[in-house]
Amino acid sequence: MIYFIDFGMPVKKSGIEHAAINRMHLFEKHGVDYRLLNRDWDANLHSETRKMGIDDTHLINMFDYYQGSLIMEDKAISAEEVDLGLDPSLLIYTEDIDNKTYEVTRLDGMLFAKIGYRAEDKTVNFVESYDSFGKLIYIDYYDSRGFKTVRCFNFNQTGISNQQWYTPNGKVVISCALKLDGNKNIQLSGFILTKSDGKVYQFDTIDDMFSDFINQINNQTSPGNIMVIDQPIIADEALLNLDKPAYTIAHLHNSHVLDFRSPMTSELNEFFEYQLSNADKYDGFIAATEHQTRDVQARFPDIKKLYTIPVGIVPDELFQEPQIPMAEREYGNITVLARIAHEKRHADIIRAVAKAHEQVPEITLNMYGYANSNELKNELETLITNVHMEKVIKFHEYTTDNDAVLNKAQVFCVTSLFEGFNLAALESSSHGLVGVTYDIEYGPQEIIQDGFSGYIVREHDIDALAEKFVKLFKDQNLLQQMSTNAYVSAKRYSAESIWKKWEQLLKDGSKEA
Amino acid sequence: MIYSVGENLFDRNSGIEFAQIQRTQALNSAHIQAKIVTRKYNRRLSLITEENNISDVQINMFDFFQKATNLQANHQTTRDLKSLARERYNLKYNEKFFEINKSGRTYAQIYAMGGTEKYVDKVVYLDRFNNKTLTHYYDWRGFLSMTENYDNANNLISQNYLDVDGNTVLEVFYTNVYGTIEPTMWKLINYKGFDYLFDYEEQLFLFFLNELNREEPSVFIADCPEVVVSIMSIDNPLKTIGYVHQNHRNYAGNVISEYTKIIQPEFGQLDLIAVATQKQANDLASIAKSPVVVLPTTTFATINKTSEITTLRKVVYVGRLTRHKNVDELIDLFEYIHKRDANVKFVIKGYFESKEYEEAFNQRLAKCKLTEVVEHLQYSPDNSELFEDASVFVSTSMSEGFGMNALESMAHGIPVACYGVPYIKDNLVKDGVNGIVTIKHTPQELGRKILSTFKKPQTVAQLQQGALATAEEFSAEQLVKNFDKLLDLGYASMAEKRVDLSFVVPVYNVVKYLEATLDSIFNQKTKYDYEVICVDDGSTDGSAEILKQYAEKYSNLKFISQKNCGVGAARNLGLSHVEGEYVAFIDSDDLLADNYVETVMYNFKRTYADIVTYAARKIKEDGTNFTDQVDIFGAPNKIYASGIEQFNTMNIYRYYMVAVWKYVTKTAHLREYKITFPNTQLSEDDYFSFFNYQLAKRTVSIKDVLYNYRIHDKSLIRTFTQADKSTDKRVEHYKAFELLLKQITVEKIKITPSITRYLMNDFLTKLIFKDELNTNIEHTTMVMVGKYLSKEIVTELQAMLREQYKVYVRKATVLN
Repeated sequence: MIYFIDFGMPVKKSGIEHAAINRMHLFEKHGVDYRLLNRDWDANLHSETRKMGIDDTHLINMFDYYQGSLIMEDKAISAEEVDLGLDPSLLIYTEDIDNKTYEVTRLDGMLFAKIGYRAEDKTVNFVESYDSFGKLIYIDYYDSRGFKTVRCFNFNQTGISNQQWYTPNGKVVISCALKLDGNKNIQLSGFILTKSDGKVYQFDTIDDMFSDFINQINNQTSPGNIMVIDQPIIADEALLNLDKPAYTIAHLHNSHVLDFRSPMTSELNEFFEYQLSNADKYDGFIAATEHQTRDVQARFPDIKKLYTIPVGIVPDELFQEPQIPMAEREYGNITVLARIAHEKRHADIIRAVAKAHEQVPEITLNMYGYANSNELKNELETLITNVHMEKVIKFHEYTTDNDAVLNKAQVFCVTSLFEGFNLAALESSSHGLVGVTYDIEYGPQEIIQDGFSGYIVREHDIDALAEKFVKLFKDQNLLQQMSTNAYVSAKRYSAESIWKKWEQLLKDGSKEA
Repeated sequence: MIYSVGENLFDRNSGIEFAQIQRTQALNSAHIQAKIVTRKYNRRLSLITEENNISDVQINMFDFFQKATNLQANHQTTRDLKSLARERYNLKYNEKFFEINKSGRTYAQIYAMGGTEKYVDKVVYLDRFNNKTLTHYYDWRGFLSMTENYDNANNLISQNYLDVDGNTVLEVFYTNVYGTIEPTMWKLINYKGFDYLFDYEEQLFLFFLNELNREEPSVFIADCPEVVVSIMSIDNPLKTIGYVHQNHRNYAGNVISEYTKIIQPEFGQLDLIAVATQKQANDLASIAKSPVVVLPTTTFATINKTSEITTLRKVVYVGRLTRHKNVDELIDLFEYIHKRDANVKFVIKGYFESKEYEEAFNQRLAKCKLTEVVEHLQYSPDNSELFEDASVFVSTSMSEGFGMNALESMAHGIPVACYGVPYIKDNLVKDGVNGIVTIKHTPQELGRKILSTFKKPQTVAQLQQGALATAEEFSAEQLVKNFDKLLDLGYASMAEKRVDLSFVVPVYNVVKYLEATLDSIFNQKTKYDYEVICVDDGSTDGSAEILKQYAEKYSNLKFISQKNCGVGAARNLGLSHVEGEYVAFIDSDDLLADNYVETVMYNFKRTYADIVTYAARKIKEDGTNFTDQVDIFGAPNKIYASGIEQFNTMNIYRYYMVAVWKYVTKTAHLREYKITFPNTQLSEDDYFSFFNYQLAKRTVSIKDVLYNYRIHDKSLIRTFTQADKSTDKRVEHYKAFELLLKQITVEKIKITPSITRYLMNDFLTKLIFKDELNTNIEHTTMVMVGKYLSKEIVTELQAMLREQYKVYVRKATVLN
């Protein structure tokens, strides 16, 4: 069995989770089984994974595993159905729609409980319980599938003091405590786990418990397991200390060096430092691009095996769609899909567009992506005003309907500080957009073939960017030719091509058995 | 059942606990069921009950909820702790406990239970900062009984009490109340399907006592003041008795405040107050709120006189060695006698109140040079060896309520020597009859009188006879007779025996299924009484003959027959004969679960509801289960403040509850509102159920599957029970509908959206879409509806009909 290791599946996903989702569709398509091993507890995990099309059978969350709730029938209950332990005729329920809660008071007015529900389906989310003195005793959280999953104890308003996780039948299997450390700070001081055979284990941190868990999973299904780390740090050490053999792989989801121009001497990205310091102890590494593979190999010759497997996959459905000619797209539309963060360097694009606008007045710049902080977004808005491009350059809401957005654009642009792959670039290119990008690593320079499906310009050269924009928009034939080439170029990232690379890894992994 | 209720049992019990034990043992040996009930959580309790031979006749509140009553011991030793992962951790023993270590750090500590051979008491788990984060407490019998959690500052915040499988059954929560950590919330988890919350432990205790009483109405004896309040609040116990074990007045003659809880409770009243002697009873009668009776506590089987010693050889004392019992003066007494007769042996048996007192006592003995002469034996329940060759039992106590040990001595034919103290003087030890009593309360006077009595062997022999005779008076048989009298009183005042539940079964030509149905009704596993009223509606296929057979076999079957009038009339006729407190309407081809009566009755008693609705399972015509579809229809456990509230959930959850066999109703409720079946052939159950719920106060739904209803092959047209009238089905629905609307206006029932939907789904669709859409019928019906309901409702119904018609047409075209 092949296992992929990550925190979980949050609503706001990073590149790692997007890559995982693409990969999962690929495996499903070829009927190859896989498992996702998750570390973090999350009451809404299953509703999110199901939205992503992941069946519960593929998911092994550590808490679900010990709680005995890996596969559960959906039996979500509504607020009125929660048994609060008192005769309903002694209680008064008042709904607070804004906060999505019900306040439950006793007949004498004393607050008894608060029941929070989920907006989508009004199923119970949490229940706060108050004693007869009006003190908050605990908060119970309910899994999206309907059972009480964890209780958080509250004491004297200092916040959570400890938690206990339940099986659906109500037996406590995991508990953790928060205590004062030597510096008088409150810290999570440890986990206590009772396994199904009744034995009690203690762990100082969640990663400790996760390491033991990974080892246990491997023991149960060894030999023949392939363990892939998607999220660095949380399982690095665990894979080097397994009781039984497994094919261990570290997946580099980002640039491993801070300065790709000096790959042999640059400071390492601290997230991968441990893995690379133990490079020869893992059975292999995965990089998303040929360039990264080349650089890693050169610096770490002791690595046993390096796989190059792109994390972006162009779905077959897209290849079957008719290609949209440039004439049917919005003339001058430059669209950028990227998180609003410093390393993306949106400012450069804004300036380049402002310059190009002098020659191509129809030019527009449309930026999609969510901002983690409004500070940077405000700075960029100010810049747009300063260059008088308010009518030309716009921020749009984060969207999930990329097809519609990309099908009406003509050009995309990448000016990041560094990348691990840049899924957005592949997505744009496969929709027929012509790319103009800095010569940064890793990804854009491979996805876009210079002079064929786009242009690669020197980093920081804003004028060059502007010049390429103008060139493209002034030459309809050139624009169309490059668009056609982009569609062709995307075939390198078809499901079939990517799958062949996974097949090789799967084959190597089984040889180890 | 007679329950002797106290707080706890101890390694070193006092007179109260011994009294409870003796009383319980005597009653049981006389075949009157009796048990000792204790309230406090005590993990060593089983050790104590075993030592005292009362394991089978003792119930503790926590054991009850933890399902550990009568649990066989499977001891857990510290060395072999099952929860220890030995492949990961190693054990290291230090003076006080075992350490669970890994890489030189202690992760947990295992403590042993005092007084045992290394049985586990608790395991304390430590975090990396060496804080206590979790404690596992073990019961003496070897299972993990309770776990404790702590907050950031290591204060206790919660306790989980577990059953033997590790499931939490009770949670207790602690908060900081004005500076101290106190329990503020008790929660029973999943007790018979429900959670219960209590603000005080007394409430939990009362709940527990009520559960005991529900199994069988019983006598409850409060042996200490702390349990009186809860006992007085039990629902319909057989009898409540408060026992005053000691002198209720102090030296100054004032009533000891603790006992006012029994003698003059602030709220409520006990049925009786009991004391050990008539004298105490007389004194109490004038100040007690309840009648006072005499119930001597001490009792035991009379033993044949084993020694004929009439000389002063061995002087004995049995009892707790406390200052309070004036034990110091015993030393003076021994000194006096020893000086005059060096051959006399002295034996005292019992435990000292404290190590400190034991030392003081021994020092005193040494000072009087009596260390070699006085033997001290440790307490044990069996005193026969001690009394075998004793001459006299001595006591220098000034306040003993009733000399239990003195009585045991007399049962061995050994006279008692003591001071003349109230209650002892008159009732037990009588000077010259069965013992030696001095008016002057000094050890010297007592010693003098003992020595002089034993100079006369004949007197001694007389005293010995007298002692045995006194013991007879207080024998087990006597005690039991007293209790019997009490029980008789109880029975007389009890309500007349009534039937708990009545079944009404209308029968018409169901010879194929009738026997199976009747068998399922008579095979109930229950302690409740039920009657089965079968109404034969003019059957012609032999069903009536079957009923006659069953009537001969079962005395609780009432067989009524009528000429064929229809199922509604049959049910009404049955209802008019109902004597039970609750009534269930059963169809003659369906099957009951064997816990039907038990479960339904339990829930009525628990909630005082008007209607209990349960889940039902559909079965195939041949009685087998459906395997390819959902076959159980029911709702979650819930108590509703009113029937209307439950009725409103019917449309939200579509939990079918209109069928009359889906629930059981309180007879008084039906009679109060005169709810009966209309005389139509169809929809008579829709009518009945509608009013039943609309007019009910509290109702409860339970998810237990108690009923199996048979689905008949669709090709068979379900014939009406009125065989000789072949009428169009719709006419019958129409009749029922009109009667319903009429009654709604009479009862002035407000039409809610829930009701509109009900009218739509349960009546209109049957009328208008049953076989084909018939616009004539639609028109007639809506005109009729308009007679009783407002124009707005009529418009609403018409709109709903149109919507439904679209669906119908779509379905119809799809089917085509």
